[in-house]
Amino acid sequence: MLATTAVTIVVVGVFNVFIDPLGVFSSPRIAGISAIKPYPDHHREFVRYASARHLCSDVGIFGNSRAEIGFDPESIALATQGLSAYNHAIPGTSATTSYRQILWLQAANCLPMKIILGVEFFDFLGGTSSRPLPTLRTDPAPRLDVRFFAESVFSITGVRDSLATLFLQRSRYPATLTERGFNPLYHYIPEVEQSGQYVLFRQRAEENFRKWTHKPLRLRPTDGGVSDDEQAVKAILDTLAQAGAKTHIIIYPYHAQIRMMIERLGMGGLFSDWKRLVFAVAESQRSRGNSVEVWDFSGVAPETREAIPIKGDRKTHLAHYWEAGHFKKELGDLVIARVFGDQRNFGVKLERDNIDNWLLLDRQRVQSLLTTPSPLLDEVNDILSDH
Amino acid sequence: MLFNSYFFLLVFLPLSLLGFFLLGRFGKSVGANWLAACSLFFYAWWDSRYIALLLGSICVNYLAGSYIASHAGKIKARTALIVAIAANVLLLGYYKYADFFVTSANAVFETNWPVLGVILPIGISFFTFTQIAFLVDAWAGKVREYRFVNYVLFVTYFPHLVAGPVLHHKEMMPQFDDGRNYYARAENFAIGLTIFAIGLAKKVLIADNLSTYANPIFSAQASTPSFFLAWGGALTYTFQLYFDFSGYSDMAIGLSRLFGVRLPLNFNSPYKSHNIAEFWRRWHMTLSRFLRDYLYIPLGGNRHGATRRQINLMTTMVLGGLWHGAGWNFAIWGLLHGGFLVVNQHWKSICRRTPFRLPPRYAGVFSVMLTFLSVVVAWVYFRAPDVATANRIIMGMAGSAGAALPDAMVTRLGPLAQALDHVGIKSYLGGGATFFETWCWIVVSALIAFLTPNTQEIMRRFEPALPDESHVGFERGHRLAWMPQRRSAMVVGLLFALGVLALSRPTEFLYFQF
Repeated sequence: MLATTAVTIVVVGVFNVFIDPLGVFSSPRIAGISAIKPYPDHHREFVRYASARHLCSDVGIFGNSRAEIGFDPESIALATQGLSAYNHAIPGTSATTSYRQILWLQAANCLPMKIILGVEFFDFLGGTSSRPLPTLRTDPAPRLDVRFFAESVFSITGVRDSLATLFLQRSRYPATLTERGFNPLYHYIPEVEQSGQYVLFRQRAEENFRKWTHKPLRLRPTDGGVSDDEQAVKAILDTLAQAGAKTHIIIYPYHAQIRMMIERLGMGGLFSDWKRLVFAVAESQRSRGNSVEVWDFSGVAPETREAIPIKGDRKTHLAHYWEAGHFKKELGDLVIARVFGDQRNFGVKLERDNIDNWLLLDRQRVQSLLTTPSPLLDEVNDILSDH
Repeated sequence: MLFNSYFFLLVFLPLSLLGFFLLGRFGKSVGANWLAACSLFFYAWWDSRYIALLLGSICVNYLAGSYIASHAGKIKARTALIVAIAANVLLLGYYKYADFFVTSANAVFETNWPVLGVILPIGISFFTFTQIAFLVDAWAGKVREYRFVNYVLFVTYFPHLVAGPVLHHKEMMPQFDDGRNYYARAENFAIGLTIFAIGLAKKVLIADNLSTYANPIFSAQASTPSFFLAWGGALTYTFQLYFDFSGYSDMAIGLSRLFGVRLPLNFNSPYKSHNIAEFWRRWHMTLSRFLRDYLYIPLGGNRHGATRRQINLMTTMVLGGLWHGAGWNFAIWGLLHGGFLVVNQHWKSICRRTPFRLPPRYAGVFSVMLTFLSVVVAWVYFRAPDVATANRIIMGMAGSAGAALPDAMVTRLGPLAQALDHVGIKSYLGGGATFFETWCWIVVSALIAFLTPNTQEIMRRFEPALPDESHVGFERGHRLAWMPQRRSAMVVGLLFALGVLALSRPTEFLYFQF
């Protein structure tokens, strides 16, 4: 009995290392067996850190799921400039995670010299009192230790991931993460064909509504101190400035539906205040000669006003959005191109002499959408009246 | 320390066994001392500060028991018994119920007394009940063995220490005194490891997976769930608790058997019960036995007429509920079960006078289902963080929030979708995968719980536990019956391997909190 137990555990371990679903053992990627890796739902920081160390890229993309899904490191804009990039963004995480990742890369001498940093308005909301930033400098980088082996190799989870890897090779729409950390979200394509993109928009909008309305409507803690995210962004910029890196802070291209909901829920002014806050943080760095830019892509533009398909429409695939918060690679490519020099796209680089006008104009455009009858306005009204 | 942890399985257990059998060669007391020391270490691993409490409780009860037994039949013994039981109850009351009383008083009298923030010492309910039984047995003249080390071992014996079963002095002491148990025996290892492997699999492969689906519904922040979601949450918890507790009980019995010691059976396929009285003879059997012998019968049992019997039943069940936790939801849970028992008695009396009978097969299925549904409803109060949340879930189960299926599922139903709409079953966005997985787990769990033999039935030829007093039958001659042969060893080895491979997830036994 114990022999069977021991043999089974060893066989499982060897199998999991051979398939290497997380791609951390440098096992050969064999076509038809293990070339495509499944999207990791655990050890996500380690997976990215291991790949990023291996690649040591020129450009690092940081942020949450919007960045992970939207910014393809193999975007043409980067390739034409001869830049290699890696997407470090992790869903559901805040700037503190990005800061931790940056410290690990710095310690491993792999810190990219160009950074795309997505910042999230909703992460800044709330806070009861100021807390010092966790002492991340002492956090060790993840590594292949006993705990990792126990959790990922000699485990049912490891077997599940390895079997998923085998099945994934034949999948038409695999849920995968590319070698450069990009999540192409292929598996959403059959979702759209089954339920229609309206369902994705509606479901996410309802979730957003519930989430936002539970947050206190303020950017800073009640004691007037600095919020966790503001501290983290400042710490990131300090670290990057010391390393001589150039940072492009990105305010994500939210679909107009989100902007209209923000405005309707009385957060429109707060959203503008937040942009000013982000700009002020960047300005403080620039005044010390450091290279930091803030780009605002959240404005109303043809790209961010794409019409939501009607309920029951299972054929239409939007060009730029999965749902209002998560944009597709196609829109992400436009953002990256704009940041790296293409003047033709949407998006505004915030400067001292344009920020006031831009924020005023931007908000007027959103308010205008809320007073002009349209299917999008009907949808927003419907979502809000349901709650 | 959890049974399903690497440290326990790879370090603590092998060293305990090795030391026990090596030191046992130098005499029974040396082996017993080692095992008691290991048990205290096992307890201290959780929180060493409470070792003093455990040892203090053991010393005081041991002295009190010795005094009571040496003055058996005299008024002094009775007084000592009352004082000792009161001390145990007060100790339990302070740690378990002090904050409950403070918060209840604040709510009722609108006072603002501060809560004490007492941390409940793990296993206190079990070692207190075990020792109360010892005191009563000493008073009744049933205690024969008085070696202190054996008493310490009886209370702290690690397979049962933190989550039961509740032991009787008379059934354990002869085993600790049996010299044969201090020698390693292949048969005990084969039986013990097999039972342990089955228990581990129940816990880590089934119960822990079910918890993922049960927890969201029981969140205090959740709104009233719709019909299928409410039942999904209630049923996943129903099976989670079943496999968690059943798994723990198997592991305790299996571990103990490695040391040659048989524990009393604590769990016997309770969801197969035909009525609620049978359920309590199958669920947490040693606690039911304790409550019957040391509470229900002393209260008068059924000796003073039907009304008094019902009051005694209700009292026993409400106190049994409060034993599980200091909260009104536990009291309601106990009240519900007390009510079920009273209804069951009336129903039996009505049935005796009714000439009409359902065919036995249908009657059997119907009664099992009805008992199960009653238990599920009561579990909602047992699991919910507060009464308001439990009421919301019960309302959801009754359909007050309507019935809806995930849109992704409805769109796949074709013309049936319209029929569902006609009967008022709507659709909602998202959650399709979770819904599907929830009900798959429920179906698989139900098949195992209702249709497969339990561990005792699988191992029945080898008397894995102490003889059962509940008079509830076991299935005989099942083809899954275990035999000490290569094929069985391989199957169990594989099961054990799967259990070990699932250890890495953080987990907790539900019954540890009691």
